[in-house]
Amino acid sequence: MALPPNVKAADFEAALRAWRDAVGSDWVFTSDADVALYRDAYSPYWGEPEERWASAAVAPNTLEQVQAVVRTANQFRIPIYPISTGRNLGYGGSAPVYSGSVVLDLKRLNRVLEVDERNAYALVEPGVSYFDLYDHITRAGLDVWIDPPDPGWGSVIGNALDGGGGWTASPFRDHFGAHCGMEVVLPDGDVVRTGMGALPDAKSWQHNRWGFGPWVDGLFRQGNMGVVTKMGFHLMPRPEAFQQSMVHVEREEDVIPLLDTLNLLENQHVVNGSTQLFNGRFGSRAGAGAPAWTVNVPIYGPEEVVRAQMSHARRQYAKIPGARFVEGELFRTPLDEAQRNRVRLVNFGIPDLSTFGLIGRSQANPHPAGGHIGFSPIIPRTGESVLEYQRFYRDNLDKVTGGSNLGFIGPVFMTNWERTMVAMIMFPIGRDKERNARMRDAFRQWVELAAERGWAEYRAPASFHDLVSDTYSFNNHALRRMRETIKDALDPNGILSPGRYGVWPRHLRQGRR
Amino acid sequence: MGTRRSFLQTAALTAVPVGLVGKGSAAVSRSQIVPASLPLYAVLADPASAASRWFASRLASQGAGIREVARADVTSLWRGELAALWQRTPAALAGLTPPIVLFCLEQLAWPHGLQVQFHAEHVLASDGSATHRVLRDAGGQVPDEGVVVAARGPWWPGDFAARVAGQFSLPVCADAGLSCAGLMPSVTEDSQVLASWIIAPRRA
Repeated sequence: MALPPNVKAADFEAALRAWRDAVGSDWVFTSDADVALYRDAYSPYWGEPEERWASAAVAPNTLEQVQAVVRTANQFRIPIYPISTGRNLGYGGSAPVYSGSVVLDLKRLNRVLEVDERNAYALVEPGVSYFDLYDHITRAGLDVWIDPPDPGWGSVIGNALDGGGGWTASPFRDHFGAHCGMEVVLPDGDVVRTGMGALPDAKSWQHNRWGFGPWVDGLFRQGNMGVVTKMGFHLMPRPEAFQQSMVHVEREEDVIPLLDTLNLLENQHVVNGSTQLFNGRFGSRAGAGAPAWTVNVPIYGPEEVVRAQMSHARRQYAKIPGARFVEGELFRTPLDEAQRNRVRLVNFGIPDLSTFGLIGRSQANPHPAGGHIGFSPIIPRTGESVLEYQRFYRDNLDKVTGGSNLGFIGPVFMTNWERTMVAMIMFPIGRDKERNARMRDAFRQWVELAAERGWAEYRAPASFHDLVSDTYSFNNHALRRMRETIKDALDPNGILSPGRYGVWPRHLRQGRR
Repeated sequence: MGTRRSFLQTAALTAVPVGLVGKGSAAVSRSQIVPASLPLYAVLADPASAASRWFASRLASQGAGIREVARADVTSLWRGELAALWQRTPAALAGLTPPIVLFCLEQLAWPHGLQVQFHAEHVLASDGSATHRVLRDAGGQVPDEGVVVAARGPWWPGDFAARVAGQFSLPVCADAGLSCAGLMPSVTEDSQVLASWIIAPRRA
């Protein structure tokens, strides 16, 4: 049995006994086989000594059990790493950032605590997947939508806390932005509720997210300051209709007015769906005869409003010389079976796993990414920045790859979050260690080159948290120093997810800077 | 969801011999295997792959049902059948499919006490040659480089896979953790990769 780092065997045994007493011996996992399941399926270090491993896992079932687990970890100074459903593929999965940590598996906290149709919100536990919440809502016959990511098997809480996004309407597709209220177990085992939840018998916990005083919820986003055991989310009442049109332009420079128009329409709340910008002539998805740029124009709402807004959008895009506006089909919800078979389900709040058919090798897709990690820098949401990014990619590709074709996918320009443009590049990860090493090196170079231009990632695979954290260096890394100060106050023994998103506890900080 | 151990304690167990056929096959230690036999619930088939359909029909002749998984999308199978089934019982599956199908099912099966018991990879090059690599066998061995059972030959992946998988009556093998199903080997762009596999309950 592996020991967590810097933990004596006797202490670990004592902790395991305490955990077994707290959660039941069936839910403390120490066998090699059990623990091996908490492995990052897309680890860029697969099969290498640097691959991150758990030493054990504990799966509590209640808030009180979570508190007991955390207190025991604190008592014996054992690093723990909470996961929800462990499906954070491409960003570290269920493997701890600090290798040897004990995984705190929250999958058994899988209750949908409340869905209020009238006020359109839900309160869930971390083990609730998007499938679970969707099924709950469907069985109850409630007329609200969830906003699933793609794929939909992940945790509602886990995805939000890692900064994930979805595919329906704003503001719901910013998953952390759509949350309202949390319950958190702090590293000392104490439990807090944020926002209006800090009132005993709160009646507005999932209505108003701010409450009174400094808002602390952000500490737990991509953070290691506490274990979230409940989280509220605002839901979208089922929209009556959805329509998506496409706009094509033929000149490279037309991306400037194309994005300006999109931004204006979004900021005016005329266009509210999730958009993507496609370059038909550049990158891994270039095609002969394709337009230079394409953007989708998705709108949700009452049918007459959708039609009016789409009409308005068409008039705005018509101001771009040569632009082609292709009006899409208008769908009235709920969809019937035939419609469900020919749409992208996540755009309709329906979770599924079809995305794996796109990323997995098959006869229809012989060149898949399969395992991958994502380089996800945020660039300004302007056409000039997009063109600059393309030049950056093209000019540095040979340098980063050493002239080889490493099979990058992208750039893919994503706008899942309002006023944000993510220029993602996906790096295939496989079983070839030499190729993975080249991928890692390429990733590092992209991060450093992008940072020189003021671009940095919004999210990163666990293996690169320190690297990306280092790029946010304004005023001698003042933001990280502030987070470390908070970390030291909340978690003086440094037990909770050491190193997550570059925040290390004091005793592990030496020598890393 | 019940405990992992309770799933396995309620499963019927009978002894079954286990073996692996082919050149370079790893010896299977019987001491590493808890003899067991569980009915194969279903075989998955990719309707777009003749080899996959053949493989499924071969195993279905032994009493298993066939489930189609088109475009490597397991959503309907999972939501329509497996999610409820695996809540009740850790039913075993097999298939010759794109590797991503195995990957998805392995992830979904894990909380229900099932794991990948057998995994072989079949790379069919455009020149007609085929490489079949066993990545996990019934003994739970996970050799780093796999066991290459046949470097070349006119074997379709389906033919090979059916021969190998037919040797098993759903063994409950030694625990082996997560498979490498999510990670592709290095192959030429014009080659086709399929995976033959068995997902079955882990032993108590």
